[in-house]
Amino acid sequence: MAEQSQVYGSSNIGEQPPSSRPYVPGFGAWGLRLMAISYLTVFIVIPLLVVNVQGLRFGLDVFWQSISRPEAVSALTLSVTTSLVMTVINTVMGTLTAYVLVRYKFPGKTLFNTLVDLPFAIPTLVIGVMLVLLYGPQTIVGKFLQQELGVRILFDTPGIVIALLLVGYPFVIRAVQPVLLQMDSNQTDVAQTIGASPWTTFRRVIFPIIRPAMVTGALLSFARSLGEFGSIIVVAGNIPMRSQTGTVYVYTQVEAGNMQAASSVSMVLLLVAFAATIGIDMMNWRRHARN
Amino acid sequence: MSIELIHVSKSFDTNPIVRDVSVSIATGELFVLLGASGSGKSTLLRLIAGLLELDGGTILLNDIDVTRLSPQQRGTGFVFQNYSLFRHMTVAQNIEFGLSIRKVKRPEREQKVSELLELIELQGYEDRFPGQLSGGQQQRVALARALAYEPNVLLLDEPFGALDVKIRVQLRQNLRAIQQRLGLTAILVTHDQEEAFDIADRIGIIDQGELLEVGAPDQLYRNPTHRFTATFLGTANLLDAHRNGTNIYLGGVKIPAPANTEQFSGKPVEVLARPEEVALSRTQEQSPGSIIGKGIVESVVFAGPALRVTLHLQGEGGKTLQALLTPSDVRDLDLAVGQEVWISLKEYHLLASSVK
Repeated sequence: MAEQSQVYGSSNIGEQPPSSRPYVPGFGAWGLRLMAISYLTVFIVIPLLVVNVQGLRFGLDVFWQSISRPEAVSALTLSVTTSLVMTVINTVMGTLTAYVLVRYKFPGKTLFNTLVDLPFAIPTLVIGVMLVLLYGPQTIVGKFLQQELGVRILFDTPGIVIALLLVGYPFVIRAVQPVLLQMDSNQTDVAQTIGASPWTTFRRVIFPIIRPAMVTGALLSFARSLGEFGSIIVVAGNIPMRSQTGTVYVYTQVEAGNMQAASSVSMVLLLVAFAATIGIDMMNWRRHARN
Repeated sequence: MSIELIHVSKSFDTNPIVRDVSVSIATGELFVLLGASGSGKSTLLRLIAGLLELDGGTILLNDIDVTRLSPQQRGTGFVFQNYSLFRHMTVAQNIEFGLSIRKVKRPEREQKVSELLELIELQGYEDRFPGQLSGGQQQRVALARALAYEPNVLLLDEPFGALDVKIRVQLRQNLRAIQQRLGLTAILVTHDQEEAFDIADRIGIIDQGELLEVGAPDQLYRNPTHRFTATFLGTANLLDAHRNGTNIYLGGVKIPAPANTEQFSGKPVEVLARPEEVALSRTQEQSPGSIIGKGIVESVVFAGPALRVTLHLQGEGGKTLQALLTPSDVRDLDLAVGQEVWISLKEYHLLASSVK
């Protein structure tokens, strides 16, 4: 992901392209910087502050009480565990998909490659509707799973995981794919002539190269799915202690007018997501420093 | 025989890339495959390594049929032009990669790494990463990596192509020395004839997937059988002629036929003379070789240690010839553009005529 970090890191907002106009030092550059910083402040920093102020309005004790209520703990745990399960599955399958897309030819590959991005574009609410139509108790699939295997998809954890798998589908693929494309194929050829089996070649040659991209994709999809709401409310409903995730819990508290509880749980969700993004940045930093 | 190719062929889609190549390479030989880009020389190397599957033919390595074996089972050492070192591994880890796959114990691996580092003269570089090395150093590490597990044969695909001229010359002589010291059998692919002349035991000329001719460097240069070889290696002056009796007739001019060219008797031929085999003189009597006629000097160009003279041969053909003269020759002859001189050939060779 060196390219990404370059885009974020090395492009200097203040730098002006050479132009025929005489360069006025200071104003243009500072003006642009001021605009960027205010934009960030108004739309990100202030809302963040408000949530935190609201969550901590009655002190740490109340904050702690709000997030340690059994419903809140259950909701947060469900969010984190389903997101983790999704992340593990999507990291493995996403890496595999990226590898297949880069290395192999097959009919319909271009279409496949386009479809990968679709979850970015579909409203997640629609994803929920699609899943209900597919796994609902009246459908063939839903009936089969329920009666033959005794697995309930809707209004339960499996439904949430499936929804999240869809929502988080593109992240790892789109992170790993460019790195694989850039990789010198002679490296794997040389590993083969040296005597490495395909598995050893993957483990010792390919994996170390794509690992940072895999982690970036995994963390991004994790952060994204932690905040997922639309598809979950449709697929899993809102059953406290059972299918109520963190975001759905927050929604319920907002509906009930309990802004303090909503803010407290939101803060926890924010904190976890924030940790994930910081993790990505630190990794990019380290890679940058090494090169 | 260390490497034996028997009727090897390969096509991509319906495009033949390697056509019916057969050649035997002896143990300890450094064989250079010389051809232009797109001639199929790299494909041939990949076929030998098993990185590509062949369409037809047989490949033997050390008398074992490896045609159906995977690259892992063939045990070749491959060196690419772009080094292809594992960038996340140190120099030592790169070199011992083949040994760790073969589950060789650590002390033995360390021993081997230090031996190889000494061989490539990079002692003390164990813990560097490839990114910290120059191109030439990286290529030496790539060579050590390919040698570590004692491969059956060494395959080098334009190994010096990405390097500066000076380092290239030095590195190929290092390679030659190592190859001879260890008695390695190696195939080196290149488009650089100077490189081929410098290190090859034998050269194979490849054109459009066909292995046209195999021979020692001087033999291929002096006495090629194919017109392509004659023109591909160095500069060639080619003159249409006819061999009759013990003479060759170039239009109205008669010169003696070279020895051992009876197979061309009574046939149209082409006379090949290298620029350094062409001599010029002011008078007919001073000619050091067989006179082929008079010519006009078109240009005299400085070419390092020699001067390249372009001549227009007078007569019905009106051919342009190249001659390579020493500066003192040019001074003695007092050559100038537009001047008329006698052209003679000190040595010449015959090729089957391309005109049917």
